[in-house]
Amino acid sequence: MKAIFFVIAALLAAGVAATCLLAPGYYAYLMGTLATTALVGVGLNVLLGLAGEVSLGQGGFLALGAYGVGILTTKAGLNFWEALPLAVLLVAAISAVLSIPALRVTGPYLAMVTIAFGFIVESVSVEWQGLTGGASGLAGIPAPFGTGGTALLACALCVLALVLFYYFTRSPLGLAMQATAAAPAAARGIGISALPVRTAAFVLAAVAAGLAGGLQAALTGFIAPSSFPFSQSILFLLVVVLGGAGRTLGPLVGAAVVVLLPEFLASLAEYRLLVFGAGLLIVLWIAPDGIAGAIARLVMPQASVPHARPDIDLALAHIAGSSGSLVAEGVRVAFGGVVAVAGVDLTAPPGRVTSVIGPNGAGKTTLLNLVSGFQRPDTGKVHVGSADITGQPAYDAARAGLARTFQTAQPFGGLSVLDNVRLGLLRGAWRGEAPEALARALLALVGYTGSETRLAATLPHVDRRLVEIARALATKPAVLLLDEPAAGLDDADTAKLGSLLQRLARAGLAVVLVEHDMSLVMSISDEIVVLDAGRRIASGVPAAVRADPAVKAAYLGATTSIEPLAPRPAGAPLLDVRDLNAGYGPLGVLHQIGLRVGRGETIAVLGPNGAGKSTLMKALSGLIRPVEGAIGFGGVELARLPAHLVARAGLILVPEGRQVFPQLTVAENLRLGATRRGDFDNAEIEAMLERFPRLRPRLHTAAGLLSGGEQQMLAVARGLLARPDILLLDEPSLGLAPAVAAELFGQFTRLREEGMTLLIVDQMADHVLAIADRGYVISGGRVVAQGAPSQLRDAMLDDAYLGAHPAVVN
Amino acid sequence: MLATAIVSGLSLGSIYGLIALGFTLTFAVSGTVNFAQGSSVMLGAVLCHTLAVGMRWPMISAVPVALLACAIWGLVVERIAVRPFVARGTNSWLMATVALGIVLDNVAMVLFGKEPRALPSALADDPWVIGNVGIFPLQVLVPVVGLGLALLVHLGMHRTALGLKLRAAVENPDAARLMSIDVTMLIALTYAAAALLAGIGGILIAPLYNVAYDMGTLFGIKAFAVAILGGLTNPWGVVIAGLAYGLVEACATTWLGSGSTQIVTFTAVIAALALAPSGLFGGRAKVRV
Amino acid sequence: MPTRLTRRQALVLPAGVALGSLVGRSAMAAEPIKIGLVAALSGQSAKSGEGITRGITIAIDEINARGGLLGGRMLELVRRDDESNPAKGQTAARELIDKEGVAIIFGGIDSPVSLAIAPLMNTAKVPFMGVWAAATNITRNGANPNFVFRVSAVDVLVDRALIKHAMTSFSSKKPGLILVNNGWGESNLAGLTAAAEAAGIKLAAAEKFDDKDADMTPQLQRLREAGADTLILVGNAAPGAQVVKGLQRSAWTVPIVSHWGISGGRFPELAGSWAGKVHFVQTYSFFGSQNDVGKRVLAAMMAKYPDVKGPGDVTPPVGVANAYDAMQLTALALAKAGSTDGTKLREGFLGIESYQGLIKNYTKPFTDDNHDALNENDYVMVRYNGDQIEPITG
Repeated sequence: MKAIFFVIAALLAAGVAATCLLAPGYYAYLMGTLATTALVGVGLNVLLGLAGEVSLGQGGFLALGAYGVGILTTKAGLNFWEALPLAVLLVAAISAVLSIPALRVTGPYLAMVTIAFGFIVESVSVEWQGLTGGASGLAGIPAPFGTGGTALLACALCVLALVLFYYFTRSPLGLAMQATAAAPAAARGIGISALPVRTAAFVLAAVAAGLAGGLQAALTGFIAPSSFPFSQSILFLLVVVLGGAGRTLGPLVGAAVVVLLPEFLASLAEYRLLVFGAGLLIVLWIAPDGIAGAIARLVMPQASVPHARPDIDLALAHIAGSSGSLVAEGVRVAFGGVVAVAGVDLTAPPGRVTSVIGPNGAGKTTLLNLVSGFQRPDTGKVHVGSADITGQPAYDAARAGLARTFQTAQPFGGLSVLDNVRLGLLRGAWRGEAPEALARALLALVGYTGSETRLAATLPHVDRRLVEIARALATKPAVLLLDEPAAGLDDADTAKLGSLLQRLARAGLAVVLVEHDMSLVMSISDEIVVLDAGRRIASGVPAAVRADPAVKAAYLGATTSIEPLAPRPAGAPLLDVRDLNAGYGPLGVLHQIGLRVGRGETIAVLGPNGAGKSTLMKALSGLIRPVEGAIGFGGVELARLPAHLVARAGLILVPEGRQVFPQLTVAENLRLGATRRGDFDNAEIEAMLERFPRLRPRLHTAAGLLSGGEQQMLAVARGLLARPDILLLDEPSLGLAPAVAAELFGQFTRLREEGMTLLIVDQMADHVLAIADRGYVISGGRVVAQGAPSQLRDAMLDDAYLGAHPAVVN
Repeated sequence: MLATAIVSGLSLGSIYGLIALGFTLTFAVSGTVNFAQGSSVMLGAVLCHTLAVGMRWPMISAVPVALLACAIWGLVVERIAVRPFVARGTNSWLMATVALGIVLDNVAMVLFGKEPRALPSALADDPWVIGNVGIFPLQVLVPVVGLGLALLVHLGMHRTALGLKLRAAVENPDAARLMSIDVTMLIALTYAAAALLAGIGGILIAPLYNVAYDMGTLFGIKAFAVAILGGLTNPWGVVIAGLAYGLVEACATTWLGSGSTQIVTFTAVIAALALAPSGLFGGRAKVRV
Repeated sequence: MPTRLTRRQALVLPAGVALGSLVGRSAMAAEPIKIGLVAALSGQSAKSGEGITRGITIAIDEINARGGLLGGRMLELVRRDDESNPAKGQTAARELIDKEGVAIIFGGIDSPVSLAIAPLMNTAKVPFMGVWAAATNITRNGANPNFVFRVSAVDVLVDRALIKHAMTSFSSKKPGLILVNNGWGESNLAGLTAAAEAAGIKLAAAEKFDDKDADMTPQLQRLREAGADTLILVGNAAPGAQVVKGLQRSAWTVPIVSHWGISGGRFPELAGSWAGKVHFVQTYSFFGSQNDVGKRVLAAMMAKYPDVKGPGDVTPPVGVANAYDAMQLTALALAKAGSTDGTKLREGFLGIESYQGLIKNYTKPFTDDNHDALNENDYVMVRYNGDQIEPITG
């Protein structure tokens, strides 16, 4: 294979050289144009393919390079070899200056800045007649060689650029660009500062375009503003996308298509751009990775390279290198008046597993963000070892020895597993060593057994977690923060994860774990800190925390004296869920869920945080599609219907977090609730105000200004206005004061009396069970128990919520 | 001279605002835009010319038919160049809409011809003259229609059931779906409306300037600049940004010469974005590209 | 493996094509003599390209009907669209020389394009024939040997004629200039300034516009305030039309005298009801009594092109007439050279003694010092009447 490759490469080189030197000048010119176009493409590939940013102003940099060479040779009397480097330097300087405003923005805003830049260059080159020759341009630009030689020079530089690009993608900076594009937060989390990386990409892209411009000026001997129209910048983007963004040979393939296709299709002259446009659309549809990407996928399967057995001790030695506690004191943050974390202290000493638990909305993830530099605390101090990292950006926190993982695993999708870990070893440095053996050892340490060349985006869920942890360990942290690492793992994998975390702690790391899986937390933690509503309500060893009444109350609701209503017999079947599987992309959350609701029944769905209750609600209401299994609803099959048709069929969800439309008034929110029916009448609003009197004075207020309790009432009222056949309530009491929650449940009781069919998910198990006719307990995405409220409450709830696996009650 | 500059600036500026309003509509609901919005401008003008001049239809029927075609074009753009890519979770809709614009421009080139043509209008023949300043009635009509349409869009958004659904979908698409609102269809509708507005812009300016297959590009870019400056999600911000852009452009042309117009306006765009990275009026830009 | 093949094909094919055409070219003997044309075939000046094409085609038809040249070789026209873009024009010229192997290239309306192509032609040693673009330094380019010839106006001469017409027809004492902002405009700014000085009048002011400008009122306003009593316009059809619309809008009934750029496109349509007010220059008019060549050409035009029903439909006449005469002169030069070799063909042009042409009777049209076949005695002033161009009488 290798030999064939070299023979082909040699033939290619000979062919190009022959074309440049022997064929008529036009063909040399064509080769030169191909080379300069590809050269711009290689540069843009750095920006688009690696850093993920779009520029529509490369024509401007091309023009700058061309004018630089043109002016320096014709007006300043330099020769080509002196002019070219100066022109490229000029382009680099101008692009660096432009990057100051340009890189404050991304996406369409950045596209606009680059478009504007291109137009400014064009206008200036028309207006500055003394220097640029105005609209007539500059003629008589000297070339270093004849047309053939100059074209050959362009080809050589293009090949050089392609080779450099190939190595650049594997260099620390190239990897950092890809990381920043793929998962910006995770990149910061391993010490990569985004701005310099993006600036480097922007300047490199400009430099390549400037070099191409200088070559083009010498090749044509003549340049004018009309040589660099806006459409050319689009063409360059097309070169990269068509060839395959991020692929080394992509720009060459793209340039070959763009430059040579018209020559072969001379008869198509008129229709050339038409064919281009349509072709580009088709490529985008069927080959999102471009032509080079599609070919690579066809003929170059990712081969797994066998390697020596990794040495786990190497990895352990690596992570044992630094040590220090995480100490957070009085950390507080508020978002627009809502205090998310209200002055929390947290100490995680080396060698121990410190867990942070608490009900949904307790502020656990926010606390994690505050200590790891992803959010700035309003007050409080954060130290890692002796270093004060309070208010430091995440990449500085990472460099100070704090590593973290994310609730949704964020591996750098476009990079191989091994490169993910190597990037961690670099800690954001643009140069340096990232030994593959050490990366391999870290992968072995976390228990990753798959292929190391596999792209992280294609990994199954468990492996994404493991790679993320290995990457975090690679930064040689003193402190490792993990945000729900067990979410979505099965029991065996969770057990492995638990022993890994303990092993890391024994190696000297301070491990901080935020986790919903109570059996994991209880079994591996040395200390547990419990948060509720942004405050620390308890701490201690697992047994003490489990016994703490305040903790129980936080999880299950205050056990006030709620008189349970008598369960009623099941009505005629309305909702019949069978074998429901659902999840988010690769992450399967629900497994074989079966559930029945009769007409007029009130059904409770209970289970610990992360059990899949909200996912179930989303799957039923159509927000998650596709799902497997059957959702029968009064004769209609909902499993394949999108959300708006599910709602139209009469299944109405009052979603978790209320989800009112914040900028619309209360009245408008209510009115939207009735969208399902054509016969809305303003009198119905009056009926709702009677039901929820707190809303009456706020009727024309923007819903976003309501208190949490009022918003929840609005969300319920809005759901009721749809006149649902069944109303699904997802965590209606979340974050509400006990009195307000009680008031709300009073309304649910009234609805129950009125014969409304209700399916309620709530953490306040006592509240729900008090009004439920029957209930289901979900854990790990499966129904683990169902039955009458009394049975469920007595038998297993405590265990399901606070650790240990529940017995199945039937 | 100031009066002339103001008249020219306002009429062009309101057209920019009108086209930019289309960006705003689609971006607010879907986080995507038709980067080839300029092609819809061209489509409106070219179809109007073809029907009114080529086939000698009366304007009263040529205009609605051309606009209907624009709206349908908007649906086509959304269906084949936006939806498949959004569903796939990529931002390739950017290139796809550009590609579709190239296709439309070149189909127009083949069918309509490569030469610019005039769209005669009684409103752009007999000027009103006050002193040294003369304006065509159409130049007065353009900002009136432009601002009127912006107002109409505003009223539609705030006074109709459809507008209410649209605003709901803008704020929280998932919650809107739970209200049985077909957000997918709403997105398609905004694309149709965006193309319609662009088409109106094209027909309004055609008698003042010329009709050509490639007339849309520059209008599209300027309108995009206006939309960005206006903050992409703020309709009135976009309208004001449009007028401001038109005025700056006209003033630059009047006092500095037309060669410096683009230098001035585009430098202003870069400066404005450097100072206010989410646009001058973009309170809460949710950039999803 | 398919990758490799595809990649190799992508790069080796052009080389193959290139070498193939090398071999192919020498193998062809009785093949046609290719005449290249690089002109605006699209955009606002598309009509100019069409007019030049028609002029060349009528001449080629006549020559081919007589049995061709160089021992029975037929002439064949190969056209490329420069889209009024100098860079595109230059690339097209390269392609015509190296790939098509043309004997000569004819140029189009845009002076910037011709200015970009001229040095290339001198390097490649292939003659270039300008039939419209008038910038003075296209032919007077300093090259030796100079391969650029022209059967068209020269700005310095046209500018004298424009000033003269403004003074005689409109008793202008203070003309204002409105010029396109490119090389052609610059050439005329120099020429008009010199011409005004020679005629002893002062210019009110000179304003510039860009080809894509949509609104000329600011420039016009400034000229009006400077006290211009006549406007002299140098520009192509679309911006020229915007100048007229701007005048109409501000109801400024100033006389306009124009260079011939406006006749390269649909000026009367774009300018609207005031189009007829503009007096502009041409080298020929098919109205009025015609010489034998004129009758023949008009007849041939009417026979070949259904849209030509009379002299007014030969639009733009300058493109047709210049191109026709230039093609006939090229045929004479080819015959004299006895070869399509560029250097010999250049000498062939210089050796032409006389030619009984459409525009005039040429005697020694090209010399070492003068590569311009037309001079200031060869212009007529015309104006639009509807879509037709008619001479100004009285």
